[in-house]
Amino acid sequence: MTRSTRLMGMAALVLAGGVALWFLWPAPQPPAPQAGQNRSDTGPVAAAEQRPGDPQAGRDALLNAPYVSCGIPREVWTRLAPDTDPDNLLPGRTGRNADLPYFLTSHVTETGVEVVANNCLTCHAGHISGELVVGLGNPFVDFTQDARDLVTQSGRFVRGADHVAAWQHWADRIEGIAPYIRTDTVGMNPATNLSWALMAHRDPATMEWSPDPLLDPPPETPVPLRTPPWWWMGKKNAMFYTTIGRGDHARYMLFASLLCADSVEELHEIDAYAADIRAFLESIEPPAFPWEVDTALAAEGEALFNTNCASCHGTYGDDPGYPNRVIALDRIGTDPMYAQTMTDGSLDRFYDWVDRSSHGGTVRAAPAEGYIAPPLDGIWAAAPFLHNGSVPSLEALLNPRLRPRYWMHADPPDYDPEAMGWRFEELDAGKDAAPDRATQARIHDTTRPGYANTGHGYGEALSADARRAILEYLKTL
Amino acid sequence: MRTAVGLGVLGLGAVALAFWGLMSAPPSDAPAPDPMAGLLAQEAPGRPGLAPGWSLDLPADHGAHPDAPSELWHLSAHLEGPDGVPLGVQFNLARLALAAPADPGATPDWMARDLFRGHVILADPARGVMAEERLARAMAGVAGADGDGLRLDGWSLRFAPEAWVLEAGTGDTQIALTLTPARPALAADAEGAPFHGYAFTRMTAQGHLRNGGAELPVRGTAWFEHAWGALPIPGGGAAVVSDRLQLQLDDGTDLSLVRSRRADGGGRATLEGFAIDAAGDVRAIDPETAQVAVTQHWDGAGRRWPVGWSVTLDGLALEVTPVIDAQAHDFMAPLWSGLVRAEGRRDGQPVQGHATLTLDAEGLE
Ligand code: HEC
Ligand code: HEC
Repeated sequence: MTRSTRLMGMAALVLAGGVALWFLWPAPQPPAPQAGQNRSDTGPVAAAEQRPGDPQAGRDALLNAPYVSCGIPREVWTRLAPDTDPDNLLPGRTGRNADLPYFLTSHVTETGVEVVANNCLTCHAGHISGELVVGLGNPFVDFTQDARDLVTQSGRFVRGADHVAAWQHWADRIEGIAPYIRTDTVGMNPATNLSWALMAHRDPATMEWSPDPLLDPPPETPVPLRTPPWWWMGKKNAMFYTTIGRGDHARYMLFASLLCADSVEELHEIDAYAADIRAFLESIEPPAFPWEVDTALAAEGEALFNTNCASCHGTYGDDPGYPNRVIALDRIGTDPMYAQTMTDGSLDRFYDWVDRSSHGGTVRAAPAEGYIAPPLDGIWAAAPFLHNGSVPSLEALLNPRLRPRYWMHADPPDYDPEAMGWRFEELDAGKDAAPDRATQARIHDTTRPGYANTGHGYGEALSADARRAILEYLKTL
Repeated sequence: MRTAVGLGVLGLGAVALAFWGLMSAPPSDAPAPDPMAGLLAQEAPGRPGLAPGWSLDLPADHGAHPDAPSELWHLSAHLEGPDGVPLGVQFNLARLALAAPADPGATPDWMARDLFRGHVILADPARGVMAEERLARAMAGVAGADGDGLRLDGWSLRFAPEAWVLEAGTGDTQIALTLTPARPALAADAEGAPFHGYAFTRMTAQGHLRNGGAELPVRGTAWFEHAWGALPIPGGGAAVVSDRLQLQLDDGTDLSLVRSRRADGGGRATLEGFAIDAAGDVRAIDPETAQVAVTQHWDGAGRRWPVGWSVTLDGLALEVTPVIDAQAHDFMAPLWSGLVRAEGRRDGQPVQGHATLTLDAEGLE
């Protein structure tokens, strides 16, 4: 390695460490519950009535509204990143947001300080085949660094009493959640743990932030999760892999504002446009597969799909349907850790927190001990697959013999339209054998807890030709 | 394809950060708004900042980069007299842009376009600590920086091709050193970082310390750094301040550590930096395994300074202690900066060396 590539590498350690930060949507639910209220059965999920909203207004709010109202002074952001990559600009951003990268939103605080904060798109947008796609779960979001490093890195450039105070507001919250949001693999998302950590620091009745946790904080290590695409929400009756998110979806997802919303009033201000945001999410169309599709083969695949897959994943095309079914852990056989930790009682204090919050009663945290069989619209773009992103391609999902035990995404990312997933390299050994921490963070090691690539063997018994045909069909969804 | 999303973009890169900690500048009398800080917070007029795609070009890059709003040069030397007594020498020069640069060829005017601020510190256990700070506006023959050298009044560092020459001092104590790089320059050229720079982390140094009539031969090693762009300026009430250790071990290792802490005392200190081993291999400090614990304080100049550190990283365990306790300087931005010694073990074998430790006054009791 030359000296300068080394140095670039060192910088990249931090630069590529796009720790996104914060917060999130949680999982909560109603009060002081009998166990039954905080759990759901596997099997079909019933629909819950949703508040109507205006998708157009929702897109505008999602892209421009300050639902995350604390951040770093904009001046500091500009100093550190003076030029915005044009590929990170998004049409429809207005005012002070127009020239910010899509994952940041500007807000002027009561003391007149303009701050920028990470918005939902930090986790819920990404580039695929040259397009920036709103609603794509970011497969490369990087939470492998200690978020506290960002606090000091940004703080060195902050000065002036008002700016320092605005920065401290944000810094205190980041320091509060940092111990619980660090994943050990790039692409894995700690959002669930993040929301528990925020709840641990807030009084549910007043939303007031407490520097010391008021509840036992969550475990430090988040369960590894890949971020699902938003365009499935139009069909789903409950939110999240375990269907924990019941009731008013708009409220549930906007708990995001928990990072900074320090009062019930602020929560309610955000809630006023939450239904519009939900309506927008449900209106998102998945991106079309941008390469050629063999339509004759796809038609063969459709028939095979309808026989082998549709009972769980629904039907598409002229006669669409979606059964909203949660499949029990022992039946689906994918990594059980996420659904188990949600239902073993170890997180019930947070479900209770939700119920005691001012949204209590309208939203309910009720996970099932299993995983939802998701709609498969735009599935080509949702790699890596399964709730824990343990399987890099659809080809490997349908043929378990091809699932790599140890693997790493190609760098830079490159989509493979044949295998249908981001190109990857299969490795001989796991994280323990990595030469350095940066490489270690890129390795998906399916022998680690939470990372298993087992289960969902529904393609295994099919012939190679049948699998080929189903893959071709999946390109059309 | 952009994989870096989010505030991680704030990461400056371990190398760029290494340059932090050197620049002393604006007056810091908190709570009143600091006029210098305000000035620096805005983009300096007519200073477009850094062009992308920079690569190090010496000697031209030794000089000033007028497009950059701020710039600093810093030399630290860890020396020894014939009796083995250690001597620390620092020469620091900062440039702050105040106005657009003059048009080339225009009649010279009296408008201050760049301000130079510098200091010299001599830490001599026999004679004590001598330090002086100076301010001047850019003016030929008085204060300036180009590929040939740096100047602030009578202080100069000349970048002659065969050897650099430092001449500086305070009162009747003067230091003259010739310096030659013992290792190639390390460029901080991370794309997207808010500043550029380079470091010669190891130079051989020899020369004389003159004190009144006496002349003492000295020799040792030196560390030179130069950075420009949007630099974090200590002093003036920044939310986060940083302390810096520049360490040269006898086994050929150079180590740069930046320890950053919130000025309000909250949160947790973080570490960044790099190490260069005897073979010249550069590695970023792994903040997971590197540790700094404060082992000694010195109470003086109205503060409690964390002057003794215990440093642990990759098989290296060092105790860093001040050669002289009282090395606080009442500059515009007060700091403690001076000579420290390091002793310890690497993989069981004894190692030792000397370092410059610079502590920010902000946030200390
Ligand atoms: C820190 C990353 C992160 C941020 C920021 C984030 N989310 Fe999410 N989001 C996730 C992850 C991870 C999941 C999947 C969790 C699960 O299903 O258990 C998710 C799931 C969801 C879902 C459910 C999708 C489904 O198919 O069930 C919705 C809706 C959603 N997020 C909306 C939002 C909104 C609105 C915001 C901003 C207010 C937001 N998210 C911010 C990471 C994030
Ligand atoms: C018995 C119900 C069931 C059947 C039959 C079934 N699946 Fe699934 N499928 C699931 C469940 C449940 C998941 C989510 C598992 C998880 O995330 O751990 C899933 C996940 C998937 C995913 C990945 C979704 C994601 O979030 O990454 C794809 C793709 C998929 N199935 C395709 C198929 C295809 C193709 C077939 C037919 C060959 C099929 N499934 C048959 C239940 C089923």
